[in-house]
Amino acid sequence: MYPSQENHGGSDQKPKPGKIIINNHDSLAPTFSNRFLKALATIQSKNTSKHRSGKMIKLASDISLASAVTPKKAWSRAILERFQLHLKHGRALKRVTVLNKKKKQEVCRGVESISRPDKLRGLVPGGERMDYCTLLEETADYIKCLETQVKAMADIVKSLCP
Amino acid sequence: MARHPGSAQSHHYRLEPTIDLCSMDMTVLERQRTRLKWLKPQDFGGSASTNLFPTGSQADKHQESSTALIEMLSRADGRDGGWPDLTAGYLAQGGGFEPLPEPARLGFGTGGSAAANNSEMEAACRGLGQAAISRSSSCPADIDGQEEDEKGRVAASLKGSFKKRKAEKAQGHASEASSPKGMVTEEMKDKRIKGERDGDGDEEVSKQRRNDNNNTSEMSVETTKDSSKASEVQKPDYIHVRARRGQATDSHSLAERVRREKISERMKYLQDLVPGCNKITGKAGMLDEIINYVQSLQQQVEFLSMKLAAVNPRLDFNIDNFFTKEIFSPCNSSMVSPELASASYLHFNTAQPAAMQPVTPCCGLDVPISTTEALRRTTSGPVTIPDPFIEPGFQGNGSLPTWDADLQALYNMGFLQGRPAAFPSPPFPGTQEANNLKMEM
Repeated sequence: MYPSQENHGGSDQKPKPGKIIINNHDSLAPTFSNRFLKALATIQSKNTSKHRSGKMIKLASDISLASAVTPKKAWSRAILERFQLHLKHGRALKRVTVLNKKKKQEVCRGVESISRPDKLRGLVPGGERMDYCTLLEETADYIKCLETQVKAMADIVKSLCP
Repeated sequence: MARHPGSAQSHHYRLEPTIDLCSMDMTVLERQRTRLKWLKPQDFGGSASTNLFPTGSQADKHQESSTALIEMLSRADGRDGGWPDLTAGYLAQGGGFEPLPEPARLGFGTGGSAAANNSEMEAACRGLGQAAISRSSSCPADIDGQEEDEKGRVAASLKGSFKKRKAEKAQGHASEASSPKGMVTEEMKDKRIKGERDGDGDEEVSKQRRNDNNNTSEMSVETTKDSSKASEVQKPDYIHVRARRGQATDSHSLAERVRREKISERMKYLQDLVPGCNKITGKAGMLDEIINYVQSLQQQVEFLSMKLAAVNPRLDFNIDNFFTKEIFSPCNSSMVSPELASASYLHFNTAQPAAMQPVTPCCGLDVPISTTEALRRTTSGPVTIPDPFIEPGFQGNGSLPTWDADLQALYNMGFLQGRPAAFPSPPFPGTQEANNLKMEM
């Protein structure tokens, strides 16, 4: 359904500790928009309802972004994993929230306040499993990619409707 | 992490010599047991054994004797402290242990003080017999370039009620060489050096010092894998149980320090990445800002995809143009080509009247897309119309060429009404207005 599926088996590159490895995202924008447009064409060829296609497009853009990131980061792997789960089980895509025991107990006790790192963990895909250090690194990478995504999508929208 | 080469890496423990007798027995017992526990998995062949035993032929002997000691200790467990006297008696006679098997007898047979070759057993037993502190020693792991100065010369010198064995080892390390050598050892003190566990280090090295003939200098060798962190000179006079000033040399605190540095480094990087994060001091505020920024970006993506879904039915018209364009100019990320724009524009114009005619209620969506340009797009989609497959109308900001006159007026009015609320003053209003949905009319 989506052209980005063939790129799932990415090589996992673990960043060395103590060193920030930030991907060079120069080639990300064209790759992303290429895949995203293909996915858009695929979605468009199927005659889905509007609401559904809006979600579909978001999903497609997320997946194209995740697959366009060449050295796979944890967040992109998490997105792709989630999508594979979705494909396998046919369930609706929901955010997989992995709560450890302590947090579950806190939730049961009614401790409402979510700490800031946990909030960030909820935002970055795959962040539930990360420690704080990795989380920050992944967040930096994710922000960069999100900026690229937003810019590319805005350009597509702009070129489609001047 | 820049650390002083001679910084304290190890904890020094002094065994208090003024332990009363009964407790001493137990401590000696325990120490021997723990030592053997540690010693057992060690490799006795090769250089590790020669560290303790000058002649390689004695390595197996020692092994036997150590097994015998284990056996002995296990027996001593049952006897509840009556054992040291017994062994002392046995030792005094110089005879072997009767109930022990043959290798043990071999080990103890040389058990007189004349046993220049150091067997740990003898040391322990002598320590027991004389109610002195015996040293628990251990084999240091192999170190490259480490030489042993004295090969197993043990003078089990008994001074007062203490026995002392000291080992001196010289190491070819540069850091070792730089360290001061001429330290006078204090003879009467027992020292036990507990090697610090390294970051990757897996073994804890405790060293025994042996007595030099000269007793002039002594150095300790830290066997750590990381040579930069490695070594430290023992100052025998100075015993520090806790770390020196400014040096939290515990492995946990070291790791924690590394972690904190990493986090602050990443925070700094994120600060550069997130706009408006430079002015904020404090990690909490920065985290809030980061969270907000990520949220706003995600909402923008969501909104743009919704918008694309609105435009999507027309996309097939020029999708091929996109691809050729992109292939030939892969670095062009903006993807605004005049022909493409005109093509979609044409399509847009032709599709517009048919699509927009039945629409009476419109939904104005104001999107801040980019922070710099403050792009303002307005999408009008038939949200309240029951038919979901209807073509949504789409409108640029300024140009409305083929729009119906009254509809255009209607739309402009709505747009102008909605605009001050949606965009107060700054070009980038923030996360909340990102998908601001306003019903017009």
